[in-house]
Amino acid sequence: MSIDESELDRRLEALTREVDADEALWPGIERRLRPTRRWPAISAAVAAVVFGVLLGSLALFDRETSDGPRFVQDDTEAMRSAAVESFAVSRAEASGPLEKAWQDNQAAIEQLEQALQDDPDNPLLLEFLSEARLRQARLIQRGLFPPERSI
Amino acid sequence: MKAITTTLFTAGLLAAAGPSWAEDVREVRDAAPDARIEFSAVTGDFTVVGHDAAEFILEGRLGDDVEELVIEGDSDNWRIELEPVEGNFEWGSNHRSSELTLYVPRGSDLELETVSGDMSIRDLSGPSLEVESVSGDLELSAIDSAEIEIQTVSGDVNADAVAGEESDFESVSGDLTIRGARGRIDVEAVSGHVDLEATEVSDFESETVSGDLEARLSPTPGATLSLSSHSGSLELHLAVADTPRIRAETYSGRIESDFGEVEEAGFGPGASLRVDGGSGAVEVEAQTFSGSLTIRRAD
Repeated sequence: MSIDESELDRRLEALTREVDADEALWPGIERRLRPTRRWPAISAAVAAVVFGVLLGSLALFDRETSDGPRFVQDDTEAMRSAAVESFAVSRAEASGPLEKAWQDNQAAIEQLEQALQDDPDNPLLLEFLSEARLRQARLIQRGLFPPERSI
Repeated sequence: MKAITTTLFTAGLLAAAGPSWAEDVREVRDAAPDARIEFSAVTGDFTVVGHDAAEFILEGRLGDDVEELVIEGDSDNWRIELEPVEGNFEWGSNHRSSELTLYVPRGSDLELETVSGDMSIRDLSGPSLEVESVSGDLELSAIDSAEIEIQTVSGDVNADAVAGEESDFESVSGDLTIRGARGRIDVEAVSGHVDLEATEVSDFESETVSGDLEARLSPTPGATLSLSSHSGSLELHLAVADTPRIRAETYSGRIESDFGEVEEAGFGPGASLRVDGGSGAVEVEAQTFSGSLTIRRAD
């Protein structure tokens, strides 16, 4: 038996578009959505390691650039070398305060995560937590790319 | 056009024992009244002043840590850079840092950068002023540029009569003291303290982590004021004729207000404040995690 296109359209239109999940699934879904103590701690540890590795590699980069070639081929190379020098000085000057700010913000994140354990649906806490995580990313970015932008 | 005007190759060689090798300079170039001018230097004392002449003048002394003074561009677009000597410059008692004054057309579009140099900037009214410092302190006065963007890491900012249509101040641990601001104002600090006085405020946003903020604002009708802090205290003094619309909330801090009744949380710490102003009322949104929140009616 064949069905013409208009009949097919009608039957498709009549199909249910939303299906509620089985009630037995809800507790599992709720558990997955709720913040847990374990993951924030792991993500904080990973972020700390990443930040530490970044600082370490930046220190190595500083040493390499400061021990770089003393003779320049032309003006372009000289300017690039000077820009790298400025960049290294700028980053070294900024790294202490930025690292301290990163730690302060990390402490704020941990306080918020702790508070969310007791009050997981609090919109104020969730908003603060998302802002704090964004700020953490911005601080890392500033550590990598401080104000000196001539490079 | 490119002109490398002054070269100090021997500064590094003399760093250990020689006499001071600082050099006096005076460089003058034609510059359009609205020229874009970029200036960058690692350290020193710098003054940037707007003037009425169609030229820029750079005068003063180059420090021993400067390898080259680079000036390149044309009358519409200049780049001025004090390139540092390579390696770690060892400052001795007989070494001197740069002390320079840069006069620019008042309407210049300016971008200024320093690492640890202190900078004083005044008498400007161009389309934009962008200043970035790492640890150097910044002093600004009589600035009427349309867009103002000030950014430091640990340097303090002291701004007086800085009245851009849009002003953006950002610090990590440096303190921000701002007087005579207006228009749209955005302030952000991590642990730095913010002290702000502004009039004709149409939009205000602030965000701190542990830094305290005290703001005395005269907002325009319908202005939006948004304040947020994790553990820093927020103190807002509002010069308003009508009752503002307020939505304030703290998770574990306290709220004091001259407007409306503060509701303490039914269980545990925390408080909220909800005030419904009339149509066209100033809108205030303020939130803290643990910092205290105070909203006062200013005289």
